[in-house]
Amino acid sequence: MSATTEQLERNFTHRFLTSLRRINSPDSKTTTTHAAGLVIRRRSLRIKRAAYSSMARAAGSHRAWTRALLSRARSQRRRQQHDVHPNYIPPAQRRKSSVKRAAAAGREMGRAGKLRGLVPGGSRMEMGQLLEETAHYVQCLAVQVRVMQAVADHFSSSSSM
Amino acid sequence: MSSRRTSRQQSSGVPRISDDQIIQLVSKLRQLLPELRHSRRSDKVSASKVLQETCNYIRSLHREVEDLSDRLSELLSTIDADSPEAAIIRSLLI
Repeated sequence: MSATTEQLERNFTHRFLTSLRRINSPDSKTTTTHAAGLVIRRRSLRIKRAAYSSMARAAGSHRAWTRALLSRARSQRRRQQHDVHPNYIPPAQRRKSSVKRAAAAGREMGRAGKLRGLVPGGSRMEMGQLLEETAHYVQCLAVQVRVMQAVADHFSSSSSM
Repeated sequence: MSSRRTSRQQSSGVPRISDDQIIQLVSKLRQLLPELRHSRRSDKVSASKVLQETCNYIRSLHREVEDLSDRLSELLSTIDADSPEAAIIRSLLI
């Protein structure tokens, strides 16, 4: 593993574990009033978001995909704070973004269009930048998965002792 | 390597990037893909295939993140995340 990948992994691991501790702290929940399954489901969503945000922060803001990801996360949080369901998109916004996305995909050769949908901020990039950002995004995702796997393995082995 | 590219180009048409650069970037992507990395005939893999495999790979990584988040959520309810933290960091960095 290269030095920078090692540093990225360390940086991400630290942030992610810090987030896990915050998510798991007992005073942030009223667990008795919610069904256990719902708690677990909701927490899984928080963990997933924490993972992506931790990685975007660890990777640094000089990358377009990290900025796009964190900006998307911010608007999700804002919607949540106003007691709006996190997956709810107001009708006007939904129309606008889907039209823009369809137009962008139409401009594109089909194969890159799919990629644009998968890489944060991809719809706004020209081809060269898209490929570069994709390469970096893929590397970071692989690190993210590796660390999450290791953390999960560690937790499951220590709980089965 | 050329100067950093921004997403906005003040061009009169489609932003230009040389074919060579595309080829370089595509081959860089190829190196990252577990499916294609070990293919020995380097010119046999088309850019289209690389893009397709990249999409598949990203989607599978997203799925793994989803599954691992579910798994971690279940595990967190059984343990205290506080105590093993130092041990985890140590074991991950060895």
